[in-house]
Amino acid sequence: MNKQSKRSKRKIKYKNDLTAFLFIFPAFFLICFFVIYPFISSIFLSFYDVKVYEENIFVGFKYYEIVFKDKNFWRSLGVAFEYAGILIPVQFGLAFLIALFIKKDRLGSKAVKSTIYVPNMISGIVAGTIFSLILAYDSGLLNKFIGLFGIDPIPFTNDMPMLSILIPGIWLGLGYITLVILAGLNEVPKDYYEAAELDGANSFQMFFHITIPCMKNTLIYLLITSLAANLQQYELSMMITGDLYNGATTTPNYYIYNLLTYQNRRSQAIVASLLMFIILGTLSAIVFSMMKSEKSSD
Amino acid sequence: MNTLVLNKDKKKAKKDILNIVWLLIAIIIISISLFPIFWMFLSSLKTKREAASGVFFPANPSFEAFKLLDYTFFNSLIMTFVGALISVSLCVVINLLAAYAFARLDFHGKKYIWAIILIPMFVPGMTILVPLYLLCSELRILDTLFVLIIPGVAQATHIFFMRQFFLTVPKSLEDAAKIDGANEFQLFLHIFVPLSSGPSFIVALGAFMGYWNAYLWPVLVVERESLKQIMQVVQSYRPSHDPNWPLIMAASLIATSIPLIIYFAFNKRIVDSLKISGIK
Repeated sequence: MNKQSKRSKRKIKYKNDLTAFLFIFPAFFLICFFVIYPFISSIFLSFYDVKVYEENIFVGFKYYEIVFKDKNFWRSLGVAFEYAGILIPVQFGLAFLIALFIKKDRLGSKAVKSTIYVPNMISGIVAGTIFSLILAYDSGLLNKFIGLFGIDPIPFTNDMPMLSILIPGIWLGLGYITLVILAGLNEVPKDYYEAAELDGANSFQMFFHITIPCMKNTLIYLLITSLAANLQQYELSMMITGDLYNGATTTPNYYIYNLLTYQNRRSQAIVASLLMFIILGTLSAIVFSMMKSEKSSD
Repeated sequence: MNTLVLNKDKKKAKKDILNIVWLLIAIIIISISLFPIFWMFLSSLKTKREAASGVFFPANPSFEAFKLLDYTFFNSLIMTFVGALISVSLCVVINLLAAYAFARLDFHGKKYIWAIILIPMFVPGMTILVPLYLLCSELRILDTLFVLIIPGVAQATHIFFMRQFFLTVPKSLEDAAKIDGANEFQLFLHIFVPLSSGPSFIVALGAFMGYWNAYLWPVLVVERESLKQIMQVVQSYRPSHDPNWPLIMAASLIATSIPLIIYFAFNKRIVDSLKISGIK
């Protein structure tokens, strides 16, 4: 009996194979062809001199050596971590304040909730354009504004390149972080707060002992995904500060972009991008294992 | 008695002041979110000299700058929109189909195929950029609409997200239809597709924004004027010296207006959908 039912189950499983194949095939084919094959070939190509109309030449670890010895590459990694390292705490702090503000039904909180996400709809190219006009030395609004207080104009993009890309960066992503944190805040059980209030806890204690621990998973997820996203930023650097000023805002992706578009150094770009894969892939793996462990704990 | 009324008045006054403070904070937050967009609009109405001198309001607001936008710009606006629509429809169909199979069907090698499908989640776009470009050039599909759309259609994150959703659909719904003799495709089409309009919307929005705001891939694979994508054209309006700011802002404004229209048309839906996209 048991054997028979097992066998019939197996039969159903085989019958399902064709249906499942039809469901999966388009996505599976496209992913293998346009992601996995290029990924594997990028590992191979990293050992070659990549030409377009000629045969590639095997060069071993030559380009690994070039990238490892290139100060600009290490500098770009430092720039990316500096950028993300300042941006994320500021953005999360602001997002928490705004989320706490709109969580209660206050005058204007609905309007904030529906407009805060607007900057997320804007591309890095357009945001970079707007902010390069706002931050400009001679015509910039910001310099006009500080001029009202008698401060001499500051060449922001020249003297404070990092700040010049941080401001638009924070502005661009704030809405998403705020709304996800808001959703997390709303999921914290209300009776926790009521119980704490009975015990005489103040709102600061409640925030650090109830809100933060309850939102731990949401926060870690947001933190790692936004770290991965911000380490890959290049559009703001390209549009606002450029590659000038000793590469003070040249992030790894912008470094790779320059190798490809201006210097035509494909192999070096491939090696640098593989090193980025190691960093970012590790971050994604952490997110992924986290999501899995969370599911099993449910 | 008197003091009680006085207390009430005091409380009310305190509440009023607090309300004003909250309103002020709200206005500040909203202005910061929207000001750069407003500035883009204002600058597009100025003369070149006004924009370069940093005057706040234009003396004679005019749409002159918009008249300078050429055929290439409007052509790219239409081409990008058409491309985005095709990309969104393919993206929703292909990813939903795959997600459904992984969530609700049992088949051989499921575990291994699932692992392969998820690999793109760990590979940053930059890493496959050069080999993908070389592949497309070998296939002789550079400079086509095909190369702009197809490589980005199947997305591991979308499949993962939709699978998580399909897993939550109760089995009883499916069983009822199975008794009526529905096959897997009918089940998918008549039960799962209607149920998944919310999460599918997130996938569609993500696909649209990804296509609309793409810059690097179009720059690499498209040279033909008639296929240029909108961000490519917006970027090209900006020379390094003596930029025509009203023109650049007019182009940026029109390029941004389509995502903004979508945002305000589906405002409530987008804000609500972020609740589910955040973690689950």
